[in-house]
Amino acid sequence: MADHKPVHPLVQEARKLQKPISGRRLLSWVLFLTLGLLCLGLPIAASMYPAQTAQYAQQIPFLKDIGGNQPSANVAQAPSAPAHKGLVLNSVSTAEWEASRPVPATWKALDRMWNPGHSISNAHRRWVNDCKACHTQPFVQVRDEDCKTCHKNTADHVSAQTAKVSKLQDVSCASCHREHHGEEGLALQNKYFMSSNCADCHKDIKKTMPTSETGNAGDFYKNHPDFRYLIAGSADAKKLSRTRMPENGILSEKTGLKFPHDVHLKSEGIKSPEGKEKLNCASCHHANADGLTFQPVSMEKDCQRCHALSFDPAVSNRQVPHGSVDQVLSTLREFYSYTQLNGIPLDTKSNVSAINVIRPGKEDAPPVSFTKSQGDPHSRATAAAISLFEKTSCNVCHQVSRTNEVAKAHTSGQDLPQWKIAAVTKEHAWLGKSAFAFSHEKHKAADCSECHEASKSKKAEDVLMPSIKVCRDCHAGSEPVANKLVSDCGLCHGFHQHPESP
Amino acid sequence: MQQSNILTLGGFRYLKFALALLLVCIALYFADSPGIQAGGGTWLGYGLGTLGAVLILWLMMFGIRKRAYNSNLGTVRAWLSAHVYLGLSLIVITTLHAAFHFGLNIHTLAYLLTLAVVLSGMWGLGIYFSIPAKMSGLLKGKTLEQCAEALIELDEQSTRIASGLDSVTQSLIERSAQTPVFSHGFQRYLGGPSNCATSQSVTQLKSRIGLTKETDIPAGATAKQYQELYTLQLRRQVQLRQLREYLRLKAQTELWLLVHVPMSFALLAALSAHIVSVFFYW
Repeated sequence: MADHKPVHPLVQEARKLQKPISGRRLLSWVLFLTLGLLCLGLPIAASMYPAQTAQYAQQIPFLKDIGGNQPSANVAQAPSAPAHKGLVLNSVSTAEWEASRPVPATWKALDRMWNPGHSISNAHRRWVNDCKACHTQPFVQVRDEDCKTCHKNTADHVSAQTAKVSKLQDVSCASCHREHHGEEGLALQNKYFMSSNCADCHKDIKKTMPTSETGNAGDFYKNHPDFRYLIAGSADAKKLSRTRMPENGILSEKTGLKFPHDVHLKSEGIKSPEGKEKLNCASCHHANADGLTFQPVSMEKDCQRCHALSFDPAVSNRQVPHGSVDQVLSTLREFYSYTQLNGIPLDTKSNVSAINVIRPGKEDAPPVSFTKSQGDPHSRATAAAISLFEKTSCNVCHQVSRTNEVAKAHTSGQDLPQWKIAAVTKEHAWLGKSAFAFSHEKHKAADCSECHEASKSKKAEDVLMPSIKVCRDCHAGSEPVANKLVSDCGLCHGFHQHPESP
Repeated sequence: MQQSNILTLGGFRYLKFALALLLVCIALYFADSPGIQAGGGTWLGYGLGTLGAVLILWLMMFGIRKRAYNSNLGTVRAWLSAHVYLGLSLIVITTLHAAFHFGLNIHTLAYLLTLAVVLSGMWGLGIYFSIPAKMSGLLKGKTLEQCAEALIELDEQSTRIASGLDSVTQSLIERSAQTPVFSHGFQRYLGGPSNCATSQSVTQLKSRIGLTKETDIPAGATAKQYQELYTLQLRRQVQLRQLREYLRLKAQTELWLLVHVPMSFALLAALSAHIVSVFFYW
């Protein structure tokens, strides 16, 4: 029988309280859709369609105000990035590049919320809120072209002309350089990261690139060839060739000069105009600002103070120019013609004691002055020239030989005997434009002689560059060795070639 | 009779499974030597992330399994046991995936939501080990409707006795009879008002019983009648309190799920955003 009595409020309430608390489903949908929209939908729209998103957002009051300020994309004010000294990479004007990009790149930079943190490297910080600066295509990893937008001149490891190495086709910028890992610059970060992988190819380089001329290298201490230096084949060689240091550690290069380091570096000093003078490396070798190379030794700056080119024992204030043979001869010829006509004050005492090369059988003492010798200006000039070229000056450093060749026409000295000075190798750097990063600056605590054995060198032909044994005195390889510092490939070598290397 | 609970099910079968999984993940994490830094983007990071995402999706499927009455893909109890242990293991897996790197971004939001969901799960676990026993102890087998009818019965008896008494008492009883279990919706969570009309009538009647002077008892009333009334109202109060406490506990068991489930959907949204964004700006 149906109960038509009105239900008691308490019973009604009991029935109502029996039902569980509702709202789970609604709340789930609300949270899912809200979070999905705010954290996924909106940033994607803002990134892919910034202009349209901006348009719609203007019409929705609360959307208009979210996101905060747009990072400055004011192109007119963006300064161009300076080219970085010392790095192989060259950046181009970022103002130009920024001018080519849409403004804004992402509406209100909403994709900032997707930044995984670990600060961006300092050099890239200006784009920390501009993800699309590097991530240009959705769902595509950062490509080499994205990096090369600015780093246009970064050279390959092996130039395309040299070889097409298949293993290197898989290597991209991102193989070694990973952003979002801290403030350290990506090149420095990489020195300590990727070095371990060099040996993969370089342990047996011929397998990877059969035509390679580099030796196999796996670890600096255990498996690394000796160094190669640029050596001139002959004094007038146009090209230098990379020559490996031989087993005995003695490398020679023909110079056409005579120069004993051991004489000049004598510990008791060497004769100079001011008396005994103790020379050291820096007396003649002046470092360049790059911390690596040295200025060429110059006769005028570094030698002439002691090796004066005076030609007359009693006229010490006149020197011949350190120039071509015809210039020297003309100077002599004109000098002795002049003194014949005009007279010249002579030194009471010669200041410079000319160096005499005593030849067997010719022990004559030099005359007091050629101006007073017998004969005419021609014979005086001849005597002075012979003394200068063969006894006192030129012969000291150069290979001098008398020649019957025709003199240079229309010069004053054309009627004097002629000499030939052997060609002198042009001074050059020992290491070419490579990605090798030696720095004398970093080694300034060491004395030059610790690596360059100049004090024992008797000949100019000696190439006083260190062999690998010298470096291994302090540098171990990738594994620690007692009392040596760990040196992996990245400490000295870079990956990218020098942009100017051939 | 169930000898095991969801934690001890199958001789801690799922605890062992979860621990084994964690051991593997931790060992891999320490054995890994990533290039620059550990993180979500290394190979191990991708692996742990996939594992975590798959786990989250499977954990959310518990709601589906629970409602699939025809399914014999394992028992719901076993699913729940696995749900608990694998959910707890997520704490470690997500932390290793993040390699302890956190920031103000969607990725850490997803991580925090994962932790919040797991923590609310732990709250639920605590609730389900303590509350049901208390709940059945309170009502002693009666349904809510039966409790309501008991209240109605008490009210009828009280009204009958009060009809022969003074008007003050009558109005007391009347107000008491009209007292609902909860006067406002949110009282469900607090356990009812602290001083409802029934409590008042109990207090008032108690004081009447204590009176000794004849002059204070209204005419026509007997001490016995007040005694009876007092007893009835006291029983009403007790029953009401039991009901309220029962419903408060019941509300807790429902409230935690109102947190746990919607938050897991919020996590789902954040997780989707995390995964898509990572590959959007790969």
